Amino acid sequence: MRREFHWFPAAVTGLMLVYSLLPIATFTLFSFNPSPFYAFPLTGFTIGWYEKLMADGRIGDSLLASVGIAAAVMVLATVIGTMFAFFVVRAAVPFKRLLAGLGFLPLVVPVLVLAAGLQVTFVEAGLPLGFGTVILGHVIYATPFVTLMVMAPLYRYNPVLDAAARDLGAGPFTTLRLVTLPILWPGIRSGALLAFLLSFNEWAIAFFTGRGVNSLPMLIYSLQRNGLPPTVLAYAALSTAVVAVAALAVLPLLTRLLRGPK
Amino acid sequence: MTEIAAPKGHALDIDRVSKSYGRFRAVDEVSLTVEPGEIVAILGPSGSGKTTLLGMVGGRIAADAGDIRIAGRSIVGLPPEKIDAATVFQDYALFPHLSVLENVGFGLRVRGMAKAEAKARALEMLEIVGLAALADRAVAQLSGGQRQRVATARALAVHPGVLLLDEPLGALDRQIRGRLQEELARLLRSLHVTALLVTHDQEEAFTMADRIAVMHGGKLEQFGPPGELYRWPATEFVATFLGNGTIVEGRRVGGDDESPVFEVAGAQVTARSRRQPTATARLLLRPEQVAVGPAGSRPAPTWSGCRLAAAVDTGSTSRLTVDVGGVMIEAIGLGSPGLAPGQAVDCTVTSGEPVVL
Amino acid sequence: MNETWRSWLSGAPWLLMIGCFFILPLVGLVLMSFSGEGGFPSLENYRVIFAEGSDRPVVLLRTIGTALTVVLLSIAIAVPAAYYLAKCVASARLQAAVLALVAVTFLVGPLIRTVAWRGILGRSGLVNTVLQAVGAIDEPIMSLLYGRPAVIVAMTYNAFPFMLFTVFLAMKMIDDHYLAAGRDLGAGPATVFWRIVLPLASPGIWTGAILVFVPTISTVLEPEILGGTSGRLAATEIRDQFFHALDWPMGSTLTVVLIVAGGIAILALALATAGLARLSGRVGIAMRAGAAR
Repeated sequence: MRREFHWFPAAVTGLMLVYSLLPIATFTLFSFNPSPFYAFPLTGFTIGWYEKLMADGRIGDSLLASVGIAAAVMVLATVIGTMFAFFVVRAAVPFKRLLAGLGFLPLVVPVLVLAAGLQVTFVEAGLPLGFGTVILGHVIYATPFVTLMVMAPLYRYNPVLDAAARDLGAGPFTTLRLVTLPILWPGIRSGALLAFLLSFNEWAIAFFTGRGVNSLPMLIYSLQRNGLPPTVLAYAALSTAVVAVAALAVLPLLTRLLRGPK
Repeated sequence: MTEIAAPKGHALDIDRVSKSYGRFRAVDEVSLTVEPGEIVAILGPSGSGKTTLLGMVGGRIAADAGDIRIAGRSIVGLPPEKIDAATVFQDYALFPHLSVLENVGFGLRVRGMAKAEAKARALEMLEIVGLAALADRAVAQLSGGQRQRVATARALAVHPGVLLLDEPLGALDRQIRGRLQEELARLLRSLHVTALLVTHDQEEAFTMADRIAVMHGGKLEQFGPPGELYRWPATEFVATFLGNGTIVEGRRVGGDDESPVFEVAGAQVTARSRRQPTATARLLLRPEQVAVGPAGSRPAPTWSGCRLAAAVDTGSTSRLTVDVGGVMIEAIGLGSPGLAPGQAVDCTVTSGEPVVL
Repeated sequence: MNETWRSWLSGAPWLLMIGCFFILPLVGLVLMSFSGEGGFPSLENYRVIFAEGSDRPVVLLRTIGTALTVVLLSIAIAVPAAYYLAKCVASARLQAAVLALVAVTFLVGPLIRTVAWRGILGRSGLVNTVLQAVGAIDEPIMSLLYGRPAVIVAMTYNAFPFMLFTVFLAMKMIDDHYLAAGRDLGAGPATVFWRIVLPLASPGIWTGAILVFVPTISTVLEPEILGGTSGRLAATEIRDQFFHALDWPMGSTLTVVLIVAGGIAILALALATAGLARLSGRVGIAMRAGAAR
């Protein structure tokens, strides 16, 4: 199919990329600036802020907290989200469409509302606010994304493959284990990665439901409130690098999905 | 190791099986049997219910009524993994994440066989189909014909009581199809495999099968060896689906029960019959039974002074349509027609006799 | 275990989870908004919000207005870009690369993304420094940061990827043959866009608009970090009620009011666009094309 080149959409796309990358480029640039202010002029080049970041004890603790939470969320959201993807794509039960729509409701309800609601519920139920509640909140937040990531390859999955496995003697769960899931693995892996990242960088739910929990975003939040030490910028630059590396892992899958027939 | 032991009794017994989807009867009281080591083809147009029937034998579709027995054991209601049948699917359904060898060994591994032994058996099977060299290849790198053979090897590796094939060669080019049909039939016979194959291609059924079951609209029209079906079709559908020909009306004017004589379009024609005698009948006239020549070229033609309506040169043969007193009769000739439309011709019923339907 | 059991099994964990930890909390919020003296249900909280002299309605309108502005800006940025990527770029690699780039900048989290703007819009930030260096202005522009414009820029920045991804998906699913048919019948590229692509992609644009609108009406970060003393927004109010005033019933009530107001805004918008579309006849194209698919 011959593709047209239209200059206006191309220009907007270029501007969009600049818009996207400008803030990232800016704080990366200033993370190497010796000046203690997040502002011009540029007075030199230093990696001192990175060193300071690593040396700050609070960072280490918060990092551990965030990683721990994100890892738990990744596992839970991936399992539950993948299962729900199967429900959405394959289940033939009454009210399936209604329930499937319901399952994506968390995407359209503001995080603030979710966080406030969770806070209220947990306290009413007598549950202590802390790691558990943050993980729970994050799982609610992230699972629909995992489901979406797994649904795409699942829709395109050839059901005859499962029929062939059953035909050769594999029961339903064996088929899942030996055929379906291995083939879907790239999508599941991307969903898991997404869940991890979403949880790691999430602030609102952690703030509302995590008493005594000081996740990394929460720490950064308080740091930037009280003057903005460039260690925050160093953190931001490192975060971006981590996410970029993770995105590289997902890029082949994304390309294949975009290229493939609908 | 390459022979698969034949069980006693019917290998496969389909007993008055029916399946409906709402008010649509996909399969209507179909019964047929397959003997051990036999290849039976279910032949029919799309929508005839043949694929549904195959699905029921494989356990993928639940039968509404009737029984299906493999080696005497009823399999109705059993899930596919518990049924002693293996299927070669139309699109082969090779597992993309496994190598060729792993694909072929899949059924064995699932049954608990040790990895090393499964590998060895799978390799044996690949050698039988001639693809041992491709054992470690990825599925995506194979050609259509190679995939078909891997799919067959995979199904045979588990030594199924019945091998089910769903349009096994439908996806391949016409050129290689004929050769592969013969090869596949040869392979199955050498292994004494009992096979049930589904196809819409008459040539495929004739090449490969010992007996053919013709299905139409969910019903079984006729079941028997290919020659039988061709020479003695039980219904008009079987007559026209399995080959070309014209169906003509005739009025009985004499002869005996087995060789009645009919008046067809003004001429007397001797037919053959296995039916009760009737005053009028419909007769099947195969194109190869009619010889067409220029007017006056033959002594004692059946119909003379006919007009040649059309002549199509298809290379090795020509398709001729002759207007015999208002009835269009199809004939076939060797080589190019040598006759022009509009020409006056004579028709003679030569080899064989038309059969009473 | 038969087929139906297994179907329910796959959906059960998530459905149970949102039943307990999503639906229930929301219901709890709504119930709490009706709490009054002595535990009896009352509309006291609602009365306080809409009472004379209360600035809450203004805050509400301001919040919704800001969110709508963000939606419009997101459409202006994301729709042409999505069109370009989905229909004008042939290489799947390039499409994936651009989308991944936007995704990466998005996944670092709204906190980092918002804080980043302080260095761009500040007195000695990027914009001011560049403009002064080029000689366009003599004095740095003070009002770039800590004001409404900054908040809107950051909100748009944080939300437009949702629009981009949903509209991209919608446009990608439009069969290229429709466009080819349009060109074949004599339509220029612009006409093809306005009369074929846009109507067919409009459900995607709607989804994107909702995915942008909903987080934007409830976000706390941008107003707080970049808003300065400019008008208060609803989310900040709600946060204060829960954390500082510790008046949870009031916080719940404000949340409910916000959601309802948002819902009304979306509904009004839907009716308006439906009316416009019917007038211009484009709905006809979209519906016929949809039916043909």
